[in-house]
Amino acid sequence: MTYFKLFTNCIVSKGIARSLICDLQRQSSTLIPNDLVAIITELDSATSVEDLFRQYGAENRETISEYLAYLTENEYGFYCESLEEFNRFPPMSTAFSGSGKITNAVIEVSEDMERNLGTILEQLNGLRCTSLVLMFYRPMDIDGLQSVLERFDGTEISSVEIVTAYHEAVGADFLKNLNARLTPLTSILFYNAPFDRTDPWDRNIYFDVRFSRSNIHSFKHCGIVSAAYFDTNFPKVLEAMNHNSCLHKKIGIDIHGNIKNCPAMETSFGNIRETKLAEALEHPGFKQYWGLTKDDIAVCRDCEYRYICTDCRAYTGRTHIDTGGLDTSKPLKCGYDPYTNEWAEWSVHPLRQEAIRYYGLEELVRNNE
Amino acid sequence: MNKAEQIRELARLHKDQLPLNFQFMEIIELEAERKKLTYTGKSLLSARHPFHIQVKKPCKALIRIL
Repeated sequence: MTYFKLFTNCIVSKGIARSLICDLQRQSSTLIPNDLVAIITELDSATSVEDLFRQYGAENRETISEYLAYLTENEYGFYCESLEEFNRFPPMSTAFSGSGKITNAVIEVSEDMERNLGTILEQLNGLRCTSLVLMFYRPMDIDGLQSVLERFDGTEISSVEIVTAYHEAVGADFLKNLNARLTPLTSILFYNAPFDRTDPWDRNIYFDVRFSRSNIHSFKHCGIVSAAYFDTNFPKVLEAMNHNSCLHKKIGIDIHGNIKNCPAMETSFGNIRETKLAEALEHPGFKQYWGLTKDDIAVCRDCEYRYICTDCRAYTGRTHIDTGGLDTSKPLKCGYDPYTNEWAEWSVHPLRQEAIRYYGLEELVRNNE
Repeated sequence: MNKAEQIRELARLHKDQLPLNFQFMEIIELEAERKKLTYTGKSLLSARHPFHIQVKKPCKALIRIL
């Protein structure tokens, strides 16, 4: 008897109309028909290939053969000569764990907060936070940026992303100066730029540089769901299978210093002026969304992209609340329909207008038109 | 064996038990680190540990504003 085994690092994410096979090792995802998922599931439960052919009848033999050829050619799986060999490959654990109490933070840095940034970074470092986004809703000169980045000396933060306004001094020399000192800077976005351009991290400048014509004046711009933000890799997918793919182990500080799950969310767990981040983290409500996976969220639970996509709980369609009072509605800024497999502009959908008004996003939507 | 060598040896022996972010880090001497920076890309010394921090992008988009 011959058996077929999917490589354990290949995970199938079944959607209502089609599915996705995620190769976590190669960091790529491919759409597959749900018929193929049925075959994979059958084979994965130790049904032999011969039995499968018998079960589906002669009329489906060619199709199944094509499916198996597709899986082997793309190295998603392999044949086993016996059940004993098949059983030698146990499934991979899909558990997710990490050492830090917090893994990432997003801070809207006011001029007042900039002076106390050192204290905040010290606290984040103590929580073992490794990635940080700093949003400056103003232009920053080279001295200001360097002074901010110097504060990361001695911390274990391995990635800092900066969002700041474009100004005339930003150019090759500016970036060269910013690059001169080794810092954990991994990306800088200049908004309000006269052009749109992305210069990826290379051997000359050790961070991504992005220019955008958009005017990013508040965190209301965040929460966009698009294929451009899909990621297929072990930590990202395993985290999404077990936890909320945006808020798990995230801490946000808004422009007024309020400590939140994300700067755009309404609930505050104290202000940075009088509350330590570790204290906010211990607040009974702080982790309430951490365990909410895409499998718990309306519409998303039927979507094939749910494990490679990133959630948003700050802006939702406001259509579903679970028994514990958690908002389980689809993210407002997602234009994908898993039932038709089509993408559409989210902001013009008639059923989203009420939520757009509720969040005060009318101006943002108008400017994007 | 001096103190730096002892720490390095200890870290090498217990590398598997280090937090995930440190498991992939190369354990090197401070002086060698300075020389290496010119060609290995970007890595930073930690004040608390005798090995360097590999600067890397997060595994997912932390903000999605564009």
